[in-house]
Amino acid sequence: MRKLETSYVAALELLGRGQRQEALEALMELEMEALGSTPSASRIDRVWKHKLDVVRRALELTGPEILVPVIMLHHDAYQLYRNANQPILARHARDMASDLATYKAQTTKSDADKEFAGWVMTSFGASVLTLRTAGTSAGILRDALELSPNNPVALLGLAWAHEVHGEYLDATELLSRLVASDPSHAHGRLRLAVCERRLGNLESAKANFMKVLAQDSEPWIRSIARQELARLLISLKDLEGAEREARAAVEEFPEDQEAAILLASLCERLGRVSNADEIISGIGASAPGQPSARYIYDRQPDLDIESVRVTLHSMMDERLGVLISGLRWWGVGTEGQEGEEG
Amino acid sequence: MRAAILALSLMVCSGAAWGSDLDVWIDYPIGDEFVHGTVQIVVAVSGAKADQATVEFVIDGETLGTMIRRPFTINADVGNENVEHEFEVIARAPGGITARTSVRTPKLHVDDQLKLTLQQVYVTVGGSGGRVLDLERDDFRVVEEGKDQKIVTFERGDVPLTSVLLLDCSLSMTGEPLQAALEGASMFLEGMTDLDETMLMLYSDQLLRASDFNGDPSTLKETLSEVDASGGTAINDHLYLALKKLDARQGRSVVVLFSDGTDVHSVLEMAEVAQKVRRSQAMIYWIYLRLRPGESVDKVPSYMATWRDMESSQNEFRKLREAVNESGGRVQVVDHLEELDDAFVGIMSELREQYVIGYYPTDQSKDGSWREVKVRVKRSGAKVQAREGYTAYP
Repeated sequence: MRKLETSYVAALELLGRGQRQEALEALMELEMEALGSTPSASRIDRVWKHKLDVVRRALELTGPEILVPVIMLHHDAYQLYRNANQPILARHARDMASDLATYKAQTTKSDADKEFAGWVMTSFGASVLTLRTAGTSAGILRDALELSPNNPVALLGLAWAHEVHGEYLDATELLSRLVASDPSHAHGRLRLAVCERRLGNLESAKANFMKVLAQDSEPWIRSIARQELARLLISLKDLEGAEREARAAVEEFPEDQEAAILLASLCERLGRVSNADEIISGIGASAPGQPSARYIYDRQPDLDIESVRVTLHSMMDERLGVLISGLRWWGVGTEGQEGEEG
Repeated sequence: MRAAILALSLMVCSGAAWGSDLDVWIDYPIGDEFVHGTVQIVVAVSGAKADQATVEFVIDGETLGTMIRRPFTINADVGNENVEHEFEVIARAPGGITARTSVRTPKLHVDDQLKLTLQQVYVTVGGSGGRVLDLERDDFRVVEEGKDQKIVTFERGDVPLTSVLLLDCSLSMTGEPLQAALEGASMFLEGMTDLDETMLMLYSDQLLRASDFNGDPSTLKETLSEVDASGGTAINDHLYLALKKLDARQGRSVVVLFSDGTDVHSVLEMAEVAQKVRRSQAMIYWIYLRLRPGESVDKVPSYMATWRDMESSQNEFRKLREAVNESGGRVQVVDHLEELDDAFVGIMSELREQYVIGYYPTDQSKDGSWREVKVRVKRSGAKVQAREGYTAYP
């Protein structure tokens, strides 16, 4: 295991010198060699312990900021392991990054560190946020929210995971927090209104649909807001009002088939059959590659996690010098970091 | 269209007007019946020069076109206004021989509507040895709201049909399932006869591709080529769309719905579409690709989606199944891809072997109520499949 420590230090040194890709390759090579594809729990524990020994010594020489690049190295390895279909190693990378981030937040008790840890875990949660893995994702996002309660991406992602399981009350609680901390979050407010409608909280749902429509947002969000407001009015037997909303959707988005079908159906129910016929005759095949608004709504939300990851990496880059300093116990950087980089 | 079939059969029986060099008459529309929407104009030509004749179609003074060979049948959209229409046809044969005739259809008066509303029921009769095809008018009994109805028209066998073929091309159909479905649809089209028309609708969460109503299988098959599976599933929306497209057509109308699941993304609830099914005359056949052999046919699937929780997805499935049965069609569950061809062909074959029974309901009021209809046959062990009722729609 002495060799493992040496290899781990070498990987961290590569990272510290700005060679991120090489550092990742070195880390993965040493972990694959030490663990294989299906390692036992005890073997993982031993590897974990040896890596932590390195981190602890580096931490003693510098301070908690050294953890940021270490966390990000394992964060990045997680995605690569997933791509390489190595679930156990991916899980190990995720656990190591999450535990170190949590440790840092709990040690410093600073809001910035809590937020950082929240984003690291949100990044993991967003990576596995699909219909099939909604349960796993929900667990990670819940941990993220423990550290960073108003993380908008974690709130939206976890709300979606609840929504897809029909847990509208839980989703509503999270989405209410989201729009309370960011009243301009149209996507979050739309989902809040949809969940409220399902729970029968129609007045609040209606108010939230109206608020979504009062601001600029993506076309699919506006279309769903109009469609669902129309559906809400149908449930209140206000077919005329529903028809107005559906017509507004068709006028705003003439290519939107869902809105057109809803409008035709309402016209027919109101006895305006020739209007319905006219609308139906205008419905043609959709443009290729253009998903409908309702399909976009149903898929896992686009959490815009890439921009978050860019921020996390820039935080890492700012602390590479600290990392090199922390590795001096192993003789790294004693020859002068600036000289080598130059 | 319905009247055209009756007229055609009467013509064959009576052998009317054979003798001169060229005679022409309009089998449909008939002179005392209001028409609207797309009307199929059916013309018969006889006489010594009939084989060389061409037929020009004129509607309300406007020439629609000239057909140079049989069948002299053409579809024309006369609009949905409540107005009279004049249909004129001119048959011409070499040597300057000409024959012409015309039919004027009336506008609809409310009183007339009450008198003339003929209810037609399409009936499939099965027995232990397959479909029963030798029943006569007197073998049937039609009961509406508990009251026996007098059967005034009776047809058996091959009645032309207008169909919409709704094909699920959602992402879950990727690969072999989609290919198998397209092949099955293609075989359905092969089963079309001269007066049949079909519209193809390929759907996912939205309408991906659609044809017009067309009687030519090879033209329709072009719509089936190079289709990629993508997106979600919006059955309700597209079933409604199909029924609306059929509203404007006259005659026997059918929706053949193919899907590998239940609705996920529609803006319409199935309960709303079911109301439309009740107002429509169309029969719905649902080919449900389940791919779970051995599971009970009655098992209701459920899906996880933001638009439908488990309970509502099961409700949507049940309501679709109910609407299909109520329409006089049926659900065909398919557990293996290799069974798909038979499913499509089987439905076409079933449609070719239906009885068409017409009656004037004893209750002619148009109060919007649901009228339960039961069809019974005097044949022991026979199983009757027919529309379970209709909405008396003003």
